[in-house]
Amino acid sequence: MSDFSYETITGEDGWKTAHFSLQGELTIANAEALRQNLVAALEECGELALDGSTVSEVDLAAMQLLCALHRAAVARGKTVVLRGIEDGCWPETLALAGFSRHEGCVHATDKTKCLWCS
Amino acid sequence: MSEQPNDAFREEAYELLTELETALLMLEECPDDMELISRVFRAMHTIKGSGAMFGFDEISAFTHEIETVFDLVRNGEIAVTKEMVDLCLLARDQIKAMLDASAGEARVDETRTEHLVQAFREFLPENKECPAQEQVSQEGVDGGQAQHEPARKSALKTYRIHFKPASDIFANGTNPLNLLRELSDLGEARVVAQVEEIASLENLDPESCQVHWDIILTTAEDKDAIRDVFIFVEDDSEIRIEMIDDGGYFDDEESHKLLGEILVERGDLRPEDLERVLSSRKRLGDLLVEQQLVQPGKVEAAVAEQQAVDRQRQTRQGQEAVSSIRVPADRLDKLVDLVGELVTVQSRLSQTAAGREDALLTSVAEEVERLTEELRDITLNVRMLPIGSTFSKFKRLVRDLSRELGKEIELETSGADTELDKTVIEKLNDPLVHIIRNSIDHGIEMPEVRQVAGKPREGTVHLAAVHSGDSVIIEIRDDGKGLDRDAIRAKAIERGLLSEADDLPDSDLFQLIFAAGFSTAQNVTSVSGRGVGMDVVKRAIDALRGSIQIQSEKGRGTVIRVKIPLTLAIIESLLVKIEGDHYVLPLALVEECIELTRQEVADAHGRDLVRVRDQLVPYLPLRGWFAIEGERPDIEQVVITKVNGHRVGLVVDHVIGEHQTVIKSLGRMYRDVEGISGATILGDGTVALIMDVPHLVQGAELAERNATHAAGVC
Amino acid sequence: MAVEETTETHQYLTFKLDEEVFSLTITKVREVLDYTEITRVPKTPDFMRGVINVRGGVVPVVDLRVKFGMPPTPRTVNTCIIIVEVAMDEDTTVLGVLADQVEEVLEIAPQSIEAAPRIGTRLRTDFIQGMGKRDEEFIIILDIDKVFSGEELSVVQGAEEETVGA
Repeated sequence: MSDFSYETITGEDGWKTAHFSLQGELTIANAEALRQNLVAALEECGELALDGSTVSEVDLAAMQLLCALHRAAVARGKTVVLRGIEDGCWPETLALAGFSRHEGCVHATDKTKCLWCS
Repeated sequence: MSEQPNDAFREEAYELLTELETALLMLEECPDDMELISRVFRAMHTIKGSGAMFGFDEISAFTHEIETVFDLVRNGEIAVTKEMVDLCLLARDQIKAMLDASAGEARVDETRTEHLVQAFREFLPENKECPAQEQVSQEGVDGGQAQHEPARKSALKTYRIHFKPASDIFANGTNPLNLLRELSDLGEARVVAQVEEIASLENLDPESCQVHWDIILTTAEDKDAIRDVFIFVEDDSEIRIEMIDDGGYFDDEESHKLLGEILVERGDLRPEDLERVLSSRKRLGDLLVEQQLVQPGKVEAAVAEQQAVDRQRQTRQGQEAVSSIRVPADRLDKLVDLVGELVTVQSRLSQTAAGREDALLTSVAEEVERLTEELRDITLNVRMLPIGSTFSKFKRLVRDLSRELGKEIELETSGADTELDKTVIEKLNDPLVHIIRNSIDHGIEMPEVRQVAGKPREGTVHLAAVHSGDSVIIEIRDDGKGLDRDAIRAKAIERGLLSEADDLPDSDLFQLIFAAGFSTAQNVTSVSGRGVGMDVVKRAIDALRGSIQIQSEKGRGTVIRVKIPLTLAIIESLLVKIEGDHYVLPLALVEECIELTRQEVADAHGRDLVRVRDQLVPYLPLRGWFAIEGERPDIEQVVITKVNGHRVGLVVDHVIGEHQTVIKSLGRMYRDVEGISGATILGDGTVALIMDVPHLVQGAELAERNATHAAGVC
Repeated sequence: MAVEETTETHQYLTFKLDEEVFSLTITKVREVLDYTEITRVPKTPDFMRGVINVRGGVVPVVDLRVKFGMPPTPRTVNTCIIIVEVAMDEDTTVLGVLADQVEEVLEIAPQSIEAAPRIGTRLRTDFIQGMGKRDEEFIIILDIDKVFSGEELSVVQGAEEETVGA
């Protein structure tokens, strides 16, 4: 069962963070569902923290989606942090799909902000 | 067919090992020379890379261990020490042993390999080991690409692939990742996803594919194999496959650095950015611009500078951009053989034309003669190689030997670019090794002894090669203790080669050293054996139709001069006739020909001497020497030859004229015949024998000495 | 013992040295040439007659009659030179052998070959591969490799006595 729900945590300064503990299959089948949640979270919060460590499978559509998320966030001056992608299904798929990089893509004027480069 | 790449690798590897050794020996003298360090590293890197590519895993893995350490040297993290060079030389020997083993020769001593690997690991700071491991597969292919061997270039190619699938590719059930995986299976792929076209989150249709890729693939496959991967999506996707020409500055790690270095030096690029970018495999310049690290214009300027620097470097190194091709040695031999046969037939043509009064035939024959001569010269030239590579091999020999004996010896060389026939160089190797060993073992004294004698502690062995006429003279000179004239004389008398009464000039006395079993060495060392060396040396030099002379001064040193004719296959000779038999002798040895009448023979009262202007020249009556039956004619011809500074005449019936002699071996059966060194086929098809003049002369002198002594001593 | 070495093809070339008939296995025979001018090489044993030119190559010619203790081969209209390949020190050497007359190529089945007799021929038994039966008589099959085994070949006579008095 995939879970794309998130929990909103409000900090003392009023800064809202949406925590996603992504579970299950992060694939094209569920991409739309995830997208909708991400849109909502972006609307509501200033930061999205995504934990991918319990994801069982990830595919191209998902990675594409996350990039789209990042772009949207950057455009709004918001932050996206992606954690837990050092093990599991992530490294191999990222490398294969050409998403593991040392530099950000052409959109990343400041390399330290690329989603995949943390 | 599948053996060819392996043989090509082995050939190249042996050459690289030679280069490695040379560079290491020089590095020992100048441990801080970055260029030498690079040379050593490059040689190792190439061996490792190509070794991996051709399945020589053991060699590759072993070389990797050494390269890892040397990489640290290259980065300035550890310094070059004598121990390290020693170890590297031993490792180099071990790699050679592995190569030999792969060709089916002796087995490799694996404990030694282990031992060396451990020794190298000692040089590593602990935490460096891991990154080195990871890089193996990456660099394995890098090494393969930084190649200069044409055969291997065709094996691995690098392509840039642009793949942009149609946006509905997911809907068609195709997962682009599978295609990418298939590509990776073809070789080493570096995939970069281009994500700029991905819509923003709100507008994104997650089921459409908005990613496209740029992939750099290095593979042995060809373009079609790559196209095949995309066969089902071809129609709907944008696919571009380009082979990247690596003649430019793409793959050459060296060039990358140069370009990058230039930019860093100019302040146009930060060093850490350069490092990061170098780990990617795209065109350096493009990357830098793409990453907006440097502006395009600056890259252009730096490239221009790089090219200028390259050009200067090349001129400085004296490298000509000579294009060359590798040819199997036996193919060349065949060519030389054919040229030889052509020469024979051409002389028949000339002979035939001379016998007819046909002007047209004569002029054609002359033309053919001219062309044949030119073809002969060029073909024989093709096999010429500079002797320098042989000389550098000896540096290692001298170093190891002098160490072993506790002596300090320096090897100097000159004339390394003197060219000789390939076969001659190969056959000279062993004799030269023997001579040098002798110099080091018996010639040069221990450092303390030298000091006491007022000489510098370090002894010098000087190897020189120079052309002289149609021969090459190779000189081995040492500043050791020289030959002991008296000891040699005593030994010679003991062996019956000389009698007490004989008074030989030094040059002749020293020649006796070449007699079998002659050795005045007090101790037989493991290095030079029992004096077995010198007679073997003489035989080898004789086999090359060369000569060897010794000059020496007690306490000062010894000079050994080896003279070898430039070519083995075809020589200019003088054709002569005795009774019905034809003989030839090398024209280079002939000074003049004079007549000898019955009267003069009688006047000489039984002594074989003839007056030539103001000199009395001894001669050899070849009829007797060759046991040819028949009566001596009233008028004979004496061919005056000069051998080793002595003039000796050879008596024949007729001197016919010059002859282009294609040398044919007489074969095993006639191996020990004295006075004849081969045969040749004359224009009319009969066989003429080639006289071995130096041998004849020596034999005659010895005979004469014995005769005068038998006559003189009561 | 010699009989075991018969080759696959059971064909032999027969030839005459004086009146005796000898044969060689055909696999060792390259070709048969007419007698041609032989260039003498000085100071070699009598059985080494000299060298000839065979298509640009220099080939030594040997007089088996002399080697077998018979008077030297005379030059007649029938005299031939049989070019053979002899195994010598891991290599093959090409040689010419003088024959007074070359006869025929004969098929001899292994059953018709007997071992060499201990006595009765002037030859050393190790030169003989076997005795082949032809009609009512026996022909000597020579083991040409053994005939030219190493040491005897390169012996050079004469020169040494005159020179070095060692």
